[in-house]
Amino acid sequence: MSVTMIEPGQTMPAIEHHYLNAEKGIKSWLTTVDHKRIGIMYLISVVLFFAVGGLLAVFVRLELLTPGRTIMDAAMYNRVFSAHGIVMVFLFIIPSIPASLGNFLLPIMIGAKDVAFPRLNLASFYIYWAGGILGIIGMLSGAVDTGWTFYAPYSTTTTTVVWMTLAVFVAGFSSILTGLNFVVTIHKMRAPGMTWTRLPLFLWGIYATAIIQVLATPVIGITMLLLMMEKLIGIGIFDPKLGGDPVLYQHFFWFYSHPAVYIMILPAMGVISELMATFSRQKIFGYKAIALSSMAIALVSFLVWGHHMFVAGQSEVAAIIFSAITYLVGVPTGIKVISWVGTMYKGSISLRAPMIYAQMFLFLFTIGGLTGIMLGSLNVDVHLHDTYYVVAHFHYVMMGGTVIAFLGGLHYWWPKMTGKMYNESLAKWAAGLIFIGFNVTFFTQFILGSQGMPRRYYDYVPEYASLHAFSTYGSWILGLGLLVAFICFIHSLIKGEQVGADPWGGTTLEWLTTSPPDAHNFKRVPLVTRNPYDYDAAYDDLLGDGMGDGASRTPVVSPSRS
Amino acid sequence: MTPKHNNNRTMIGVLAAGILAIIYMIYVMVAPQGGHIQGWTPRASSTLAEGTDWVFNFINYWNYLFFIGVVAAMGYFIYKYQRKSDSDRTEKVKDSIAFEMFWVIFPTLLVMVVFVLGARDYMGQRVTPKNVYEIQATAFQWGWTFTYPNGGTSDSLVVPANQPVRMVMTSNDVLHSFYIPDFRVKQDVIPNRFTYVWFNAPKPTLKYNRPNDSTLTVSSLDRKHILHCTEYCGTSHSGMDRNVQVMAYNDFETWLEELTKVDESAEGGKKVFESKCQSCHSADGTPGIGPTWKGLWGSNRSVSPGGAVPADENYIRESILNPGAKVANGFPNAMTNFTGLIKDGEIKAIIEYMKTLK
Ligand code: HEC
Ligand code: HEM
Ligand SMILES: [Cu+2]
Ligand SMILES: [Cu+2]
Repeated sequence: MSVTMIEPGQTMPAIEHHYLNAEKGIKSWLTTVDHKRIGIMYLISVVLFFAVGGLLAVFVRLELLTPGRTIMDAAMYNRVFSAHGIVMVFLFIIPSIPASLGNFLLPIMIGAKDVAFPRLNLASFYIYWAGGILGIIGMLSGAVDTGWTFYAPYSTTTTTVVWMTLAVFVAGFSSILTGLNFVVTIHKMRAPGMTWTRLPLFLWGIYATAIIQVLATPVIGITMLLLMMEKLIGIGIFDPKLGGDPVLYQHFFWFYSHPAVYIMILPAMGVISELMATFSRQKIFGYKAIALSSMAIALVSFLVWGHHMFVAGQSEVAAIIFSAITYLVGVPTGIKVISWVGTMYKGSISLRAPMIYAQMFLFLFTIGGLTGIMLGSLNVDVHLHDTYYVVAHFHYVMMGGTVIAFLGGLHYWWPKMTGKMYNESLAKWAAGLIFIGFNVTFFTQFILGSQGMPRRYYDYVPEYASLHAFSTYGSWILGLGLLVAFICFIHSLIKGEQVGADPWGGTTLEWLTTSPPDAHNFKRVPLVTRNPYDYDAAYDDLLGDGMGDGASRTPVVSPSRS
Repeated sequence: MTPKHNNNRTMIGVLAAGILAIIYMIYVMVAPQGGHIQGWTPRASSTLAEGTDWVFNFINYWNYLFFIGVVAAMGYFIYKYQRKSDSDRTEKVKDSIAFEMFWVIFPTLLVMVVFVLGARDYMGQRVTPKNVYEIQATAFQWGWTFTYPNGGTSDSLVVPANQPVRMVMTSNDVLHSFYIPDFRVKQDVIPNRFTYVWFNAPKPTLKYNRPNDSTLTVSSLDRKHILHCTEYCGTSHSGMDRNVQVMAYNDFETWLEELTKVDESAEGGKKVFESKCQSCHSADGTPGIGPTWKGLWGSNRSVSPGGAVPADENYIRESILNPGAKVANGFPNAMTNFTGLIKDGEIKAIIEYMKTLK
């Protein structure tokens, strides 16, 4: 086995031809059908929306620093928190991991040249932006102050929600088409030898997500359409004054939005599986359990929407059934956590920044999941529903889970995407600040919520003042941490060291190609002969020859048969 | 050993963060909040609270246990199996079916227990006991009207102590929700439909005596409770907080008798203003959702349709009972229709009060 070791102090030679310099000019980007470039464009877009949503969040927290008016009036506050929620959910977190990392990695990880429908992929990107622009118009043109849930009849009687609902409607198509593209790609484009049980767990996560996207997103589309029709021509479905039923709206909304929370978390769980394996250098403990539980979650998640409506006026029978099924979804989630922790057992653990994020994920997501168990209990949810406890719960799973996994994945695959390494200590400082800031901000809210502080409140009674102030201080630390993380990436673009094909000792296919990859991903079609985390078989390749064309890497890849 | 894989410094960082986190959590849990120590849930002031808190604590203890287990395993593995060098090899771990089965079956059983505990208690909350005392509640943007069996209405909630009370609730406009944290009850309030909730608060919070009687003894009384609206309903959603007072039965009866009398003076009008109108109107010229009342009485109003009308008794009355009929120019047609929510005497009182706002 010939292995070229790179001596300390010696720099890695840069790759000459890759997807970033295959074509030049802004036009080549805007019209590209290369999944990697589309992934990068999505990445830039979601980061942009994350920044917008984050800035709005800072204002929300600032207003809550003191009771009564701090920096804005009630009407403005309501618009700001609504815009924060809408941007974060529909324009940031739903597309975040699948559309950026998923787009970039999916074809490479299955050894394909591109997704099944590259032009459709580009179309999805533009549809997403059409939704984004409608959303921005909606925010600037006036008063969407309904929250991200658009509950009727408030949404249909008092404000113009048409722009925002149109934005959600349009962005939904992007989500559906991306999901469709991914399902077909995974079914049809796997390299020879890439059987279903050799699929990396990130792709199982993306696959389960894509199925939910295709099946659930039409429902939110129809709901938004009905809401617009209600508002514009008064069809009378949701507004009791017109003979409609506002609880029906909630059923429609959550029938999408509960599965949607799994659209948000399943890709993140996939990222964590990759990170745990690579940085523990150990095969994933219970690969099948994780893969199958993703599919189980995807299916059962369609049957629990009523847990958002325990006090909304649904029948007791319905409430009891929904509570029971909710607990059944909790179990596969718990099994995953055990599997990730188990993966570290007898591993060789390296605490590089991506692994730090993975550990943070485990810590925060476990809290998020356990408090979900609390909320699933009927009598306890009567007390906790629509309080800050729920706000804390979903921030622990969505930010502590998805955003943290996104950051971890971004550090992990950044060298693959750009060919450059980031600065390790800068990255760790950012992670530390984010961790502390996050917990100070949101753990406080569990206490506020169990004490009875309702959510979406502009003003509050003085008893809650010190905890609210605390939470606001935390948001400053959190914001600073995110800023440092951003600087870390920009710094890497300018100053980053060139890396080889496999800087981490990863064993999935993307580490076989150059960093950054060739425009066509691989010079030869890979032949897959082992499981994704088979460190035994991959040992001798692990030392990293750094040249990355995969040539020396038998038996993982052998020259293509074509 | 390359410095890249030296986990120690990072681990010290993580440990320091962990210790900080624990100190912080202890601080927020015991930080004095308005003079008293707080745990997780607020005071338990209804008979239902005990059941809710029991399940809350039951789940919480299991959560602590599970969470500590996960974090301890993480910490131990990171410490024990840290990478020594780039060329570290790992031995293959055999899957243990027994272990995996344990981790499927044990949590499933545990969550089923939790489900049953929560559901059983919930059914108890939903079944109203016999001989309840019924109070009608009407929610609107942004306030509440509580109507008692004798026809008296109040904008804050007063309930008899030690007596199951059932709220029969509906909304005049959008969704609202009735939530008293100290009682652990919550129920959405929906237009065109009635929803119900019941509770029994054993401990009085207020003694009620004739207005000028000052023999109130405050000791032995609980602090007042607060009612929140917990379904987002627009601009002043957070302005729907109201006091909830619990009174021993005799006091409650006296209070109820007083309630049907309306104070028709300007003084009484000011009270109505504060409870029902202040969320949109001001008395001192401050701009709001609706026009200020300062200088309103007797002035000439520009309205549509109609052009100019004098703000006299009829106009004010119409503005309250049918606000859409003449909409003040420069303002949206956003005023609550108070038909059924306000008594005739209260309108008279408001007019008296307006006369004083020059
Ligand atoms: C939801 C907010 C809201 C509440 C609560 C509210 N109002 Fe109004 N009110 C308005 C708005 C908006 C207008 C202006 C549009 C119109 O004339 O209908 C208005 C107009 C008026 C006018 C006419 C003023 C003028 O300039 O011509 C009167 C009188 C009035 N309100 C009385 C009351 C009284 C009395 C109450 C309490 C019992 C009350 N309002 C509660 C929003 C409110
Ligand atoms: C262990 C698994 C989980 C359980 C048992 C669970 C349970 C619940 C329950 C019962 C509620 C309703 C609370 C209420 O409104 O009263 C809720 C709210 C919510 N959950 Fe979860 N949850 C879990 C995981 C997740 C995950 C993984 C996500 C997303 C990444 C998520 C996102 C949300 C959101 C966004 C809300 C609130 C939405 C809103 O009202 O605005 N949850 N959860
Ligand atoms: Cu849900
Ligand atoms: Cu409200």
